[in-house]
Amino acid sequence: MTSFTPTIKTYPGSIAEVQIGATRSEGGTRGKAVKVGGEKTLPFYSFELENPNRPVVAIDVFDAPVKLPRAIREYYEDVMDNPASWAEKCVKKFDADLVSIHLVSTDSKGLNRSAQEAAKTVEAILQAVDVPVIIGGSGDPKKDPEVLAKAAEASEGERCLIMSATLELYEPIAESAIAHGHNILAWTPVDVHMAKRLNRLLFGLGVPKNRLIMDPTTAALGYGLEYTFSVMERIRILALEGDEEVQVPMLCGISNAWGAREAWMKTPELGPAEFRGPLWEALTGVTLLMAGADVLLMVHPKAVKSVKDVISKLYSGEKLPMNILNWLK
Amino acid sequence: MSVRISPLQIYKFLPKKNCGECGVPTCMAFAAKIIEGTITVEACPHITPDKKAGIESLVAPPVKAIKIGRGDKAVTIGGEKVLYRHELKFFNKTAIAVDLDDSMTKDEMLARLRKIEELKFTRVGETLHVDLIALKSAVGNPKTFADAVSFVMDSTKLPMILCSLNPAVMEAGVNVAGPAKPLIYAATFDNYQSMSELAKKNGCPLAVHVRNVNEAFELTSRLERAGVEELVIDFDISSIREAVNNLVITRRSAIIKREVGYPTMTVPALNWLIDANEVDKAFSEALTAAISIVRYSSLVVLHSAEMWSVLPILTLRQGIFSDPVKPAAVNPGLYTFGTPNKNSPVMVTTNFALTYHTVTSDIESAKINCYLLVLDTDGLSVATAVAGGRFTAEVVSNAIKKTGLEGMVAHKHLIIPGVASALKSKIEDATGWRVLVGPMDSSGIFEFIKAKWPPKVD
Repeated sequence: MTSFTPTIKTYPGSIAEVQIGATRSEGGTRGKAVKVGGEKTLPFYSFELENPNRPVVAIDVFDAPVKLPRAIREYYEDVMDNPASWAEKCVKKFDADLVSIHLVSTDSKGLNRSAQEAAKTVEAILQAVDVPVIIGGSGDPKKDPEVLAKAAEASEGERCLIMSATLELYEPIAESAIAHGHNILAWTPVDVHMAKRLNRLLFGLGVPKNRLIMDPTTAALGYGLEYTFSVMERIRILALEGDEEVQVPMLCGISNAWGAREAWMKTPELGPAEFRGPLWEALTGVTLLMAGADVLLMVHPKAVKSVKDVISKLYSGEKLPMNILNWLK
Repeated sequence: MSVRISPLQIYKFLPKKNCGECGVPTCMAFAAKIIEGTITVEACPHITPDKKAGIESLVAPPVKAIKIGRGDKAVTIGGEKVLYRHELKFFNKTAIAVDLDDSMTKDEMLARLRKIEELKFTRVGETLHVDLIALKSAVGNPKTFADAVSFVMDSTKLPMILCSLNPAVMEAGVNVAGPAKPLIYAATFDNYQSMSELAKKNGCPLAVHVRNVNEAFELTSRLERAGVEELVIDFDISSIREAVNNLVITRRSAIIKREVGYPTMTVPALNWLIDANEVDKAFSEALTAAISIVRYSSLVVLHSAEMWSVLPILTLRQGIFSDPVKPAAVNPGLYTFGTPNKNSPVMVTTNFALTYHTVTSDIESAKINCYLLVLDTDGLSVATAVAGGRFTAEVVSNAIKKTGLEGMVAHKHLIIPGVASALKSKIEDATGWRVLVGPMDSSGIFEFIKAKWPPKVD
């Protein structure tokens, strides 16, 4: 045979490894911690190098009733009034690697619950599950700093991921997270330069690289997913080529896929929404895995299962009986 | 990342007369335009055939463009120039085929063909659809296959992929379909000599089925020596991890070293061989197709002909192959629907093309006479523009002034998207208009207008 040599690239940069969750010996109470990041090459370029950590899937939990499409609601109907049971179900039944609790009840335009109440919810969840926890506010800029500070305090030592610091509001969020030993998520709207600026500001506050994860915004399949895809590819390539401002893992809110009407709308000519919706979410997830997603926030159990299955096959190299001779029968 | 050609390399082949007859003042400027792709070599009246060939080989895309089929439904795959879409763009979108087999009765085949052809959906002003039929020889009999090929050709205009590893069966099929230039699937190390003869004789493109990139290199080299150069490389996908490696290595070799410069393909339909229920098989197939599309497959063959599993794949393909530089935006301004008058509602949205098309199609299907104020949000959707500070009270206020909206309606009511509800009071303060918060999704416009328009006077 004539010889063929693949072109192998070596990169000067690598992604920081971030640990989410702390075990008892590390000062927390988690059964197992999760490590993400640490990449030395592009996602799943295993011919080049083996990236050290698998992407992980967190399942979303809300602390107050939220409008969820029917296809999702039916899985959580029995636990929707109790975030701790909801979290437990995500871990025990749906195999969540982490739980992401969204403290939506604190929104001043909604239920306007206090930061103390929200912190109690976080405590209850930490009691109910032993996986690492991601804690998010309601998106109310007036309430989030206090809510996230109280939650960070209540979960001190657990090495949670606190979301999100934004360009408008990063200082108080980062400071309370770091003071209580947590990680921080930096959110920017689909823009490489804004992402770099926010990371720069956070590093300026003394946030270490191994405590930072970035969220460049997940647009749903059909609603700009390709922008997210390319922004993430650009970020990851910049990082590997040595740009220190973006050498941190990336998180994707894959649940945003349900913002696409094609995912939930009852449209008989598009086929049953009970399959279409979770596939819409799973496809959004798999696409961004290929762009470098390290942490995926997801919501539909079937989407979670199929994305975790793909991650596992991409890592193990498992060979399935898929021979074209059998297809041609 | 990719091989960049300098104008100087092209200039060497040009007559260096600077005669300007091509419409460009100098030969160097002409060379630059060739690289941009804004002019072709033919525009030079003084170029010799061998110099022309020299330039063409320099500017040829590193991944060869391969055409399947004839006429207006023909599909071109490959022709790619970059590794990442943000570097320029991807050119020829991944072709999508759905399979069919010759063990079916004619009625079954016809029903499935109609079903495949009905997999159509319009979004962002483009009709998404399946491009090809992959006809398999399941029976393994030349006559049966030839009959099926002939039946499919009579029943659909979609170009075909003829699938069999048996040269005698393939010959029977190509004898019927040859003039329609189907893709011959597939040559392997066992059958490539006969398959290459069929491809050459009929001028058809040929797929090679291989386990890895070493085999692809070897088999395509042998076929090149046999005089077949219209090739597509099909990688084994039994390990998705290895399939990704093979797809990436192949594209990288083509772009960086101009080696193995052929388009690649996968057959996600193979997921149907796994023991699982039909929904799970369709899920695995769709996710394999998604990985293939974002990792350089120029063609995917599916088995599911169900809209729920094909639509997400078509949608992903549309996005990945859109131009990343050209923002998917429409012109901001005031748009009218139906025949609005002074009392018609005014709705507000952003200029992201998809948002605009979605909202307008909902307004049209609801048959509402109204105005739509399209804000300049740099092509961001409502949710992203609100979060990113590009949909603000000030932007709304400026748009009202710029479009002269005040003079067109007798009321002062704006309907904003539900997703932008947080801006209600700020917009009211900035504009002096009253704001009604519309539905979260524009599919609710009809119900909203029915219930809330005209607004109650307080």
